[in-house]
Amino acid sequence: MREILKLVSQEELGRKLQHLRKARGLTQQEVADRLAIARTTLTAIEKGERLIRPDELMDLSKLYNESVNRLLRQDVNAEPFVVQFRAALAQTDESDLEQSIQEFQKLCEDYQYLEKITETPLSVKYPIEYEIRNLDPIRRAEDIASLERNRLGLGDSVITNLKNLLENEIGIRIFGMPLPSRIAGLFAFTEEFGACIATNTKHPNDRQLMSSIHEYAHFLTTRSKADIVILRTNPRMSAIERFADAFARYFLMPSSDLQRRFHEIKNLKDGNVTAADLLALADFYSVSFQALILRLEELRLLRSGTWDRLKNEDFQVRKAQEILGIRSKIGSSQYELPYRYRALAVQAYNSGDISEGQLARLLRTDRVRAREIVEKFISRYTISDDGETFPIVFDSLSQPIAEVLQAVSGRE
Amino acid sequence: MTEPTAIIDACSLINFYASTFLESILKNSPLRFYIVEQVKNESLYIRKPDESERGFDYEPINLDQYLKSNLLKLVKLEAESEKNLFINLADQLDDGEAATLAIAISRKMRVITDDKKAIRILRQDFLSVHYSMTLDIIKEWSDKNFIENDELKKALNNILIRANYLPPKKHHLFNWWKSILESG
Repeated sequence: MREILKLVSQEELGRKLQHLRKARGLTQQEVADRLAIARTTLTAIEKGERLIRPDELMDLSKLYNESVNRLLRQDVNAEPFVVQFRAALAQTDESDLEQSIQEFQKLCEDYQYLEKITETPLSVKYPIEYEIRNLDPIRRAEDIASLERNRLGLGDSVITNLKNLLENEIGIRIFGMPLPSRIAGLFAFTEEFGACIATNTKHPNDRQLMSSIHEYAHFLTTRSKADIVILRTNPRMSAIERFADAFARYFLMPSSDLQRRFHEIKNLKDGNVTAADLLALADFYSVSFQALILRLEELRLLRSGTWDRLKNEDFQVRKAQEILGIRSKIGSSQYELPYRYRALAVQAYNSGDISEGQLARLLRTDRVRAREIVEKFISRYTISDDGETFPIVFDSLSQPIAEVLQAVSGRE
Repeated sequence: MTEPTAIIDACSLINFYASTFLESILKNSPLRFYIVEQVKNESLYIRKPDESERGFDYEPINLDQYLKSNLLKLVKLEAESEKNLFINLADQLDDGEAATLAIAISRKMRVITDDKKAIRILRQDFLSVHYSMTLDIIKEWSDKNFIENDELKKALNNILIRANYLPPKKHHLFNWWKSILESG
C-alpha cells in the first residue's frame, strides 16, 4: 500500500491546512497549543517544509472539522473564494456568510473532483461579455435578454428547466444551498472552476429562479467580479444591480410573449382579468406573483402601483395559491445539487471509484438518502404491449415486493 | 480461548439496525462486535414509511443501549502503525471506512462491510483479511438460532425498506435473499 503522506505535495497540503485555520479564525499559536506542538512546527507544516505525522493530520482534521479523506484529496489549487468576495463581503454584515462562501467553494471543488474521477469535464460555451457601461441599464437589460434568448434558441418560449439549460448550454455550475436568510445568491468566476452560482434553498423556487438569472446577468457583463445578491427592503441599487434585476425579469417574461398572453386572457374574460388569472400566469412563468405584477406594471398592462395596492389591502398570495391549487415550492435547508453532479457521483459510486461514505459526503446527505439518490438513477427500460418504451424508476416503497424483486434481478 | 471479533462498517451497521433485530444479531453470534468512533460519530439514519405511506420519515440511529450493554464496543486507532495505515486508506475511503479497515487489518479482525470500494481494496491489498457482508451475517444468525421464516423475512424486508439496501445481483446469497422475500 502506498505511503500517502510521502507522496502528497506537502506544500499543497500545508496551504490547505493554512486556509482552514484562517477560515476558522484561529492563530498558529492557538492551533499549536491545542495540538501540543511548537508554533514553529505548525509553521513548517503549513509551509510544506516538514512532513506531517499521521496523528498531527488526524488532530487537525478533527479541529478543522474536515475529513482526512478530503484533506488528502488533490484538488485544483484555486484561490480561496473569500478573497474574491472580499469587496462584496465588505458591503454586508451577515456573520455566517463567509462560512457559506467556503462551502460554495467546496461544492465547486467536489464537482470538479467528480468530473476528474469520471473523466467527464464540463463542456463550456461562454458567450462574450456584453458592455453595459454608460448605457441605460434597463433598456440594455431588455436588449441583452432578447439576444441571449435567441442565442440559446429559446425565442419567446417559457423556460422549463433553467438550471439544466445554463449548465448544459453554457457551462455554468448552479448549486442550491442553504445561505443566510437575507442572501439570495452568490456568483463567482475563477479560471479553475469557471462560472459558479449558488442560490438560497431557504427561499421559494420562484425567488431562486430570479436569483439564478440575476447572477447570470453578472456573468454576462461583469464576470470577473464576485457578486452577492442581498434582499433589501429599501433598495438604492447600483446601475449594475438594476441591470441584473431587469435582465432577470425580461429573460423570464419576454415583453412580446407576456403581452400576448395577457391580452388573450383579457379577451377571454371580456376585459376582466382577475387575481386568479394572474396567479396562474405567474405560475406559468415560474415567477412570484409580485414579480409578474411589477412586470405588468412596467409594460403598462396594469396600472402603476397595483402591487402596492394589493399589499396594502393585505392580499394573501399563499392562501390564494392554495385555493387555486397552485403549489409554490417553499424553501428548505436542504442542498439542491445539479442533476449532472448527482449523476456523476452515482456513476463514480456504481463503478466503485468512491465509497458509500464518500458518496454521502459529496451528496451532502446521510447514507440512506444517498442510497435513495442512487436508486433514482437506476432506471430500467421496459417495452409495453403497444411497443412504447418507458423507464421503470425503482421505488421500493410504492412497488409491490414482487415487482421490486423482478426489477433488481437485472442489477449488477 | 479468545472470542473471534468483527468490526462493523457504517453501511452494514445501518442494515442491521434497520432490521429491528440488531440486539438479537449481536447477542446470538459467536462474534464480538466493534465499531470505530468515526462510525459512531457519523450521522446515520434509517427511514420508515410516514403516516401517508407515500413517503418516509427519517430517524437517527441511536447506538447508546448497545454500547452501554457492551454488545457493541467502541474502538479507537491507537498504535502509530495503525494510524499510518488509516491515513493511507483515508486517501481512498471516507474516514469511518478507512478507520474500520485499518483496525481490522492491524488487529486481524473480520470486517463487516457491503461497500464495493472497501471490498475491492481488501481484495487487492489485504487478502488475508476476512470480510462478510450484511446477508452473510443475517444468514449466519438465522441458521444458528433457528429463526422462523416469518421473522427472517421481516428482518430482510425491514433492511430493504428502512435501510434501502439491495444486495448486488452477483452476491452469492442473492437468490437466498430473493427466495426468502418471495416466500409466502
